[in-house]
Amino acid sequence: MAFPSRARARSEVGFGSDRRPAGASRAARLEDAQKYLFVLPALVLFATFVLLPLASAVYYSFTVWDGLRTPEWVGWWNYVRAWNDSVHVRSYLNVGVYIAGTLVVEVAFGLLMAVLLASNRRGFGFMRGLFFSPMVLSMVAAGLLWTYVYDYRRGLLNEGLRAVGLGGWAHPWLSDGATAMLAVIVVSGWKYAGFYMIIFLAALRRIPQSLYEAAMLDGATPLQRFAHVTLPLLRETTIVAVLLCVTGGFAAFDLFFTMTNGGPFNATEIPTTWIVKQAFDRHNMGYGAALTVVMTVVVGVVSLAYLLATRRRHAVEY
Amino acid sequence: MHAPPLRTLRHLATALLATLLIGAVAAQNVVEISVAHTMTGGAHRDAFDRIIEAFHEAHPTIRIRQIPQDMEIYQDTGLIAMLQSNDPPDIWFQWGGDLVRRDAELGFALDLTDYLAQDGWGDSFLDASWSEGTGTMVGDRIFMMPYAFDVTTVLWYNTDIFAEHGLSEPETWDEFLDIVRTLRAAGVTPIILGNQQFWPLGNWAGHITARVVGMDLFDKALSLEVPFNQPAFEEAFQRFAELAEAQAFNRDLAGLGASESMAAFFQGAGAMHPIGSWLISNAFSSAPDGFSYDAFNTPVIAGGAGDPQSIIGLATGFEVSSRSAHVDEAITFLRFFTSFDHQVAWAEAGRFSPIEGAMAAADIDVHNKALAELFLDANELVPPPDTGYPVEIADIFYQGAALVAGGLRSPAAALAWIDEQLALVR
Repeated sequence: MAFPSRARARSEVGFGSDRRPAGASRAARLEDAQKYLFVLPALVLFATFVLLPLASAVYYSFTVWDGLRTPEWVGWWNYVRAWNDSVHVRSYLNVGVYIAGTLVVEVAFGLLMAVLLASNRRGFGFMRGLFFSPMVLSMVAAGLLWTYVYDYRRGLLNEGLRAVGLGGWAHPWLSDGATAMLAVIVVSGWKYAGFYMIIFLAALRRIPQSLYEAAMLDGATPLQRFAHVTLPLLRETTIVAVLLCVTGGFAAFDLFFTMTNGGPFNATEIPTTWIVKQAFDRHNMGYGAALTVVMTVVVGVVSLAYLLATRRRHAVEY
Repeated sequence: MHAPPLRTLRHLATALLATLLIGAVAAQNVVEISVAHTMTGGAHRDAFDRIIEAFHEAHPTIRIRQIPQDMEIYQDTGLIAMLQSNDPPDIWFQWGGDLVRRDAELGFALDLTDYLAQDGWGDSFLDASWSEGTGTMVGDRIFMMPYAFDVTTVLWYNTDIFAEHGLSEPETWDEFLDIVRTLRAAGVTPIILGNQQFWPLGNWAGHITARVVGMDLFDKALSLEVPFNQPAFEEAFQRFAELAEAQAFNRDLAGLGASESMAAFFQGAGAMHPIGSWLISNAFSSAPDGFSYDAFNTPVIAGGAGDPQSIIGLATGFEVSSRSAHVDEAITFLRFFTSFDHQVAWAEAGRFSPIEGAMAAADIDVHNKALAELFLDANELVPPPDTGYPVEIADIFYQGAALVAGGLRSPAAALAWIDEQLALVR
């Protein structure tokens, strides 16, 4: 089937016409004005609550300001500082590790569970509910709960190890730079894998059963059916899931705040925890604003690059 | 049913009008004073409430409206937001030191010098109240009325564990290290501390550093007049390296919270716990029955340039808003609050009253009394870096000390790191 060209399609549905017939009527101009009038309330709200704070953050990012004194204009100084701030630079490496980890324990594991629990066999619905249940907990509650699980002296994990004679493996999980990030990633997976499972389950239900039957007739093994039928047809869902996971990873804060607060020794410091420390603990509002602008740009660029890369390969344009 | 007679209705209307008028006149005569603070509970909040109740009885035309906030929220954003608002509190809680200097410099805090000079009000306070060291003054002017002194670090110890291992309070740093080694060899965690937020160890590190390098150099370094990476500070940080080498701390030092570590100390998870005077009130509510504890000051460090018997601490108190429309009423309340009888009650609620004789007259816990004596006998008061100096500088210093105590960097490397970080501070 041949699709009409984009320009033709636009002209057929009446959008984006560049040329107006000579002597366009006043009524047409009034209609244009009406369109803008209808958009105006949303535009005003957007400007007030998004654009204005954004512009003000950009302004403060060029100042030294403690929240009380008059802001002092310092030009690019905060950005130079951000570049030279080893903890800030490290926070991006840390969040990269966190995102990579969550792609495995949230998206990949969620996909695995979706495939395993997709059946309508007895008890599977209950297991799906069970697997999804951590999603109903708030992140702060989950973080606090797991802090007790990981506690060095009385935590469930170490007590369990001691109970089975593996006391030597008992470890201060959140106090050791080598294990703290892993411990947070595990909790993140526990919390969100169920969410991605539901997304993948919905997509799985849309795959026609006839494709699997055809593959079976061709002698495909279950693994081959997964690799050659399921995965390709889940591609668009996977793209969305990865995007959600990556952008969500950059926005992560509450879990880190409650479990490690960026410690030990910045081992789990991520951009958001560092921004909060700078802006509110140390009263460096100007520097905090600069770090926020940097983060906004980084997340924007990463998201855009990802969307462009995936669109080129998979989007159907017409 | 009969309609009410017209006369009754008229009487009712008159009575209603009179009530409204009296109410309006009374409301006009009552002045409301807002007091922002961080007392969200505990014995001292109860005592404060009772004092306010008594004040309302004694001064029916002045009402006190409390604005209590969680301490961290208050410190991070709460007070700043209130001070920036069009309606700042008339009175607010503050930590002595850098924040008082800030409030005075920006014109938020009222100069209280002349008010305290009236009728000998200022003379009713301990002499230690009026110094830049305690953080109540800026130059020769008083901007904060202290309501309590706090010793921010002493070494609390579990007396049962000490007795079990035949240990007694150390006089010198070497004796202290011997105790640490003895306990570690016996399989006991010598010092339990939660340093997730850096200040618990940082406060102690500040004290040790001031003892070794002397107050003058300590003050200059934290004021960014001289670098940290120099032999005197390396000598001070060597003390933390010794603690790291002796495995003095709990394994989860870096990730444990301050209150969790105090709870663990109460449970006997460690022999010593370096923290401030507020442990006493926590012990009342959280320590198990029969928990026996005592405290000693940081032991004398041989060869140190600072006062060997110094203590680390500060004053906390109230500031009055320079924008308050009711300064006289605010002062009336503060005078009432700091009157002798109420300060005795305040001391009995666990606070170290700055009013002359209040601690002696109060029926207080033996530990509180001991700390009060320690405070009053000290020749030198070291300000905690996070209240005596800008918090950003203190935080970097704290992290440097923690890196050494955690065995992650040598003293020289940690000091170089501190200077590198401070170079980024404007």
